[in-house]
Amino acid sequence: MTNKERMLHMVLDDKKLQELYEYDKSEYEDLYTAMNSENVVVAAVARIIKNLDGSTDEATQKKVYMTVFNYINDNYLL
Amino acid sequence: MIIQKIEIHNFRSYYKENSFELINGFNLIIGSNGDGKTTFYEALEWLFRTDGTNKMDTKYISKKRSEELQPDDSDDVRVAMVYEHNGKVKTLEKMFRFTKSFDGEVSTSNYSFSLIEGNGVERIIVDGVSFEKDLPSEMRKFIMFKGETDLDVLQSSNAMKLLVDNFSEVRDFDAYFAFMEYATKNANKARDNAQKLDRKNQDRIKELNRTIEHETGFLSDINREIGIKENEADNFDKLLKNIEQSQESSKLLVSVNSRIENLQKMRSETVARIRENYTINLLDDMWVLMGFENTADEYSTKINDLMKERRRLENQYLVTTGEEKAIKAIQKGITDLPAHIPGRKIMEDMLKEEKCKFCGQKAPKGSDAWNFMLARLEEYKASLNTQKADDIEPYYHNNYIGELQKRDTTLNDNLSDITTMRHKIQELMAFNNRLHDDVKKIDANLEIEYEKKKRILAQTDGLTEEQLLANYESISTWMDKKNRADNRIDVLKRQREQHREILDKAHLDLSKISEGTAAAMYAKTALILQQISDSFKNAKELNKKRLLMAIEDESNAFMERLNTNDFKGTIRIVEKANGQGEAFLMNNDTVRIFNPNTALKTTYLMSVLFAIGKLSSEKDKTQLPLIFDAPTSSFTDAKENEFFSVISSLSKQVIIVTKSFLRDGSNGEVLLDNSRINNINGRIFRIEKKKPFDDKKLGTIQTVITKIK
Repeated sequence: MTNKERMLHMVLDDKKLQELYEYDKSEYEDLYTAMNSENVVVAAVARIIKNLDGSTDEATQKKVYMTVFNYINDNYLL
Repeated sequence: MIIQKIEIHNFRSYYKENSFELINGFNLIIGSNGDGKTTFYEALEWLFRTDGTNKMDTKYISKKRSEELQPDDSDDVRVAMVYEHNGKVKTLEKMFRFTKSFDGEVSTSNYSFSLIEGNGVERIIVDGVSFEKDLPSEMRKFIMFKGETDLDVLQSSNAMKLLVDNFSEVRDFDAYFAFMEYATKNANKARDNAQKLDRKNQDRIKELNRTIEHETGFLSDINREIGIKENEADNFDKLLKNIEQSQESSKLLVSVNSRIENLQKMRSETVARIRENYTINLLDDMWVLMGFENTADEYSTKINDLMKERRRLENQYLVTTGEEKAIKAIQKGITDLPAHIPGRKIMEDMLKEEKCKFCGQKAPKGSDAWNFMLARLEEYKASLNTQKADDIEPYYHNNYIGELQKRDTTLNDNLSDITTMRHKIQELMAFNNRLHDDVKKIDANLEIEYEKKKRILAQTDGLTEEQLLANYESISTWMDKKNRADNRIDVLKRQREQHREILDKAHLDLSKISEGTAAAMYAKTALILQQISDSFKNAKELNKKRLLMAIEDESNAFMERLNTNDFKGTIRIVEKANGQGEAFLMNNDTVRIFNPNTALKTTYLMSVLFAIGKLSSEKDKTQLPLIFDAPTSSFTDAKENEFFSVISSLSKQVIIVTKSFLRDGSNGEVLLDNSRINNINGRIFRIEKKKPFDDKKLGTIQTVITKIK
């Protein structure tokens, strides 16, 4: 298991997030599954982890932010 | 990383070429004082140094080699290590040249530091600084330890971060944490801009934004104060820890001093009660009569006999002269007592007590007996004042015997007073003797307490009594301040929870208020990012907690093995307010053990090191060797045997230089203790000074290495 996958599991393990967005964390073993999830929050978390790639570079941060912001905006059903 | 070989050439006592072929397991290098143990350790320290300092220090040059060089001759100081790392065998080599001039001075040149990688066909030589990739300098504090004092790796300021970065389940959380702050801030800005268009709910939006602003401010203030208070508590904790060694002594000293003070008070009170000025009572007119009771008795008997005889003669005279009174008396056959018998004082006592002291009968006031005694007293008083009218020529013209008898009466009265006084003095003396005994007992107790105090002060590493007492005062003050800081932290944390709830609700309300408006989606996105950010934050903390728990569990498992037949306690690993880690021992009642003995402390700190090492290898990271210089100085032989036996069974490369396993031979020589060595599984080297050597001349000292096992 990669560092990113371990991070994904640990973030999705958050009880409050699970309750709010009703996902089953055991369904997301790897980043690929999480990125393709129908659950927008799960997919957003996976995108953050994958795309940021541990970078602290501001340009990368901006790029990832835009990707994730737009993804949620476009896909989340109110 | 597995160290395969270490080569030391002309490095201090290591004259010319020397090498240690090591195994991937337990390696023991045994040597006595001055045999080159620490030099071995320092050679590695020099080799691992990548910061460019101490490149060509002449102190590293073998004195023996430099002394034997001819003018203009040169040789090298060289330390090299062959190691295997990630399947590749590499050689790290550091060296410099030293040259002897014609005037005998030694100069250095040609420093080189290189990392050589052999891929089977060719050798790739790169700058030795590249060794940083295989063993980062900050990691060295986790693998190299000199003595027993620097085993507490968690104490260093960045150790916790290094542990999390290198050994935790998940790395790089900091980068994601920073990103989430950036994302949340920008999403909130986007939401605020979109909501500006919502004129209908503008007042409510403004109100909620104000709430968010206020609550964010509150939370920031609370967090700042929590930080300050946590630092405060940590500082007091540190201060308490600094004096923890003397804490017990301080407490004992205060208790002993208090007892001494009480005993001294008790002593002075007891001494004050002793009144021995007996002479005041004795220095009166009668003191000469002390001890003369027998003489006085004899005097009384003689006077009485004389008096009887006198009266008998007088009566005889009266009979002959026909005195009627005398005849009657003679007819009665009773000789009346003279008027002064039994004496005024006795008569007065008998009347007062209403009792005849001669016959022992009661004589109530007004009774015949009492009236008789009263008449006798009156008669006596009258006899003192009046001359007895007598119409008969007295038989005696003088009353000398009567006078003597009166003296006898007075004397007896005085003797009675003296007896009373003597009894009083005897009682007082007995009382004083008891007080003297008490003083002796108090003095004996004081002596014990003074001895106790002397012992306490002799065992406090040079601390004076004043310092110990000041420490005691400080302990209670600092404990009090620490507790106050802790209590305040609890209150602040509760307040933080409340404000977080208000803030979360405000964010939620802000998101809801936009429902049905153009800003709805932006508000929801901002909320989702906020919630994801919180999850990252929680995950980061959880990651750290899991790591500490994992180290704790592994440490306790090692402790169990390393301290089999001894008290172990439970190792706890926590993160302190200032971000530093701390490992300590706890009793089963969850009370921290402040003063573990050195052997116990060494054992639990080593357990932590082994645990970190195990976790690093389990997480598919580089396995690192552990190198110790004399780590078991405080251990007993038995404990050391057990300890080394366990270490040799670990599947880990451990290199220990020690002076253990040596014993004195019959001729004063130092010998290997083979019986103990046989129980050790691993590679064993003996290092010693080559004989003969001149103990006054450093240039004759040379370390020789013998592989024992």
